[in-house]
Amino acid sequence: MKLVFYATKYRKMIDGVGRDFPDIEVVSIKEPKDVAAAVAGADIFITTNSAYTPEVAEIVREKGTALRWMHFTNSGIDYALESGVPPMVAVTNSSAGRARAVATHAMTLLLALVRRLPDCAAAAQRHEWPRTEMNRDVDTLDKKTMALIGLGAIGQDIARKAKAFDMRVIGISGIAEAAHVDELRPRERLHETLAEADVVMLATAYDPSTHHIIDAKALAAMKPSALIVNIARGPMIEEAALIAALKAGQIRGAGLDVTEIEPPPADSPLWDAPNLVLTPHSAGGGGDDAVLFDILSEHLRLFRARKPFARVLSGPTLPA
Amino acid sequence: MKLVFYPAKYGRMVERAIAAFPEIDMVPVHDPARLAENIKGAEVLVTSNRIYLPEVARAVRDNADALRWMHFTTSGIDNALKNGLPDGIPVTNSSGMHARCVAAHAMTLLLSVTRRLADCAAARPRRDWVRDAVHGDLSTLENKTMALIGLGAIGQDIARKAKAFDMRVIGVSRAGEAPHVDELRPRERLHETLGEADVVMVATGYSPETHHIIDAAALAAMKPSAILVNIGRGALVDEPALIAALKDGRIRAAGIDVTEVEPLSADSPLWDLSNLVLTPHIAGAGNDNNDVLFDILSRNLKLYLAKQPFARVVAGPNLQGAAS
Repeated sequence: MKLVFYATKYRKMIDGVGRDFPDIEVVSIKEPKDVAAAVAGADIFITTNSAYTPEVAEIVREKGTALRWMHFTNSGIDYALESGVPPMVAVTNSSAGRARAVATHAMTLLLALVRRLPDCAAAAQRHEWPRTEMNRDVDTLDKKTMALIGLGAIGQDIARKAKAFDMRVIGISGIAEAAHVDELRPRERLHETLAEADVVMLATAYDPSTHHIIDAKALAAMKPSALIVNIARGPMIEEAALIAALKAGQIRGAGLDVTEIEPPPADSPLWDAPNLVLTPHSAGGGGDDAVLFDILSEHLRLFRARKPFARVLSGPTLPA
Repeated sequence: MKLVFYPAKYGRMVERAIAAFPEIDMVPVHDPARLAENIKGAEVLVTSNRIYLPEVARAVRDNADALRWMHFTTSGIDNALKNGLPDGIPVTNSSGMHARCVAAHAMTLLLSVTRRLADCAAARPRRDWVRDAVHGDLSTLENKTMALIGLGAIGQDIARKAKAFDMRVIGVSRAGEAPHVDELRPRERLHETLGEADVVMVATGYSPETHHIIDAAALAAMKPSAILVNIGRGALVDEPALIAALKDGRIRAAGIDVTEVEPLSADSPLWDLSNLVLTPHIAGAGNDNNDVLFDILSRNLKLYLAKQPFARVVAGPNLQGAAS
């Protein structure tokens, strides 16, 4: 059985597969030019969303005629699906792999906004101690309402953390139940929920149905005191509308780890937008690679035992 | 029965108290010059720590002829203790009122350092998407060890929040037990605990005993990768020693809301340290304070009126039987 690992990072994971699955032939490559030769005759192809470019996808579809399973070591695979995965190949991801890191980052962005860290940093730069002035502007999270869009592994962990800050959490999701959520509502009730929310948290997967799920109309439905945080994918928010809302004070602030175009072009208004905390798509950083390896190992054992995967994002559950 | 309000700020708390206790003659005093005449005949004084200046302490000592109870709308009363409280009457505080707020701020400081927000913010004016630069140094909190010094209301709430980030919490305190804490150790084991900690959280009250509890030796006991957060009082940390440790990279970073002298002097090196997140003593600030303060005051007022002992006094006797 031949496995191709195409990624620039994850050295430890590759070594771990070699150690724990000595019967599998592991081929590790980093360059797009090496994909064609490696994928020929391979049963398994492991990669990441960002590495699976249209160029790589074309080679895989053409040369990977023996492929039965593709696995992604990250959660969101929107880019890869757009690039095109082979039709009859089982596709799995690592949805919970970075959940705690991403949820931690989401809470960091939210708390930085609520506790006015950018204003503190600006004051420190001026050697000023604006204790009295800031007393009025600083806020807390207790008893505040969070509209949490998406209750996958990341959303559920955000809910758990939000409850430790005594928030009321309204989950917007199709799922029937979730821990740490005070109330669940279907997506049809999004705008009504936005109007109640002090915090709007985007933690859902990106697909055509969530493209610009926060558009000018959604922003208009939000309270003027509301904060929005996006740690999912940039195009879920209509960026021009968000910037206009921030500039006009239509909402109070935003914390973004993702943008419509990454990196944002030099002339993007995001760089100077007020009341915005911006991080460079780093929410998954610092997470524990051991979890990602555990997810991969579990999938590998199922595959080797010819048992179906719990969940696939494309193709058959039980690879041919 | 007469009650005088002399807190630093008049918010909804005073309005709600006046409305909720019509049987009490409540006298809000705004002008410090009028405190002396108004405190005469008052049984209760509701005040706050920062406003309890030497002249206020003197006015109270010289003119309060009927005072039976003093209540502080603050958690700390160090300033009032220093300036002198009247002898022989119970003194209560509002400890716990800011607990959730201060704990949230403590976690904010810790998270902003852990997730390197300052580096991201510094890159923004340069229009620099520092994804690769920050990625390598990012960490998370799960499975990390927090040495939590102090397990009062604030410390306990920090522990609760830290558990939601899957940290291991070692409380350093005399408390017999506390929820959300994996292990409790006495203060004698502080330095040993600092050596194990990824995060050192200073959340204890300030007293001569805790003065410079984080000194050069404590900082030297910490890991080079450790993060220090102080939301207690500035003098809990030996500031020159902290500055030296941060400059030399002997600890990774710090987040502090309090400094030894406040406001921080314009020439302090703290302003410009790149591995320090500094906030201007705002950990207790938040919008729900008035409601929480009212709840605490009203609970104590009911006990006072019923001539029952308070749950806790921070100075003086807890003798409600004497109240008339």
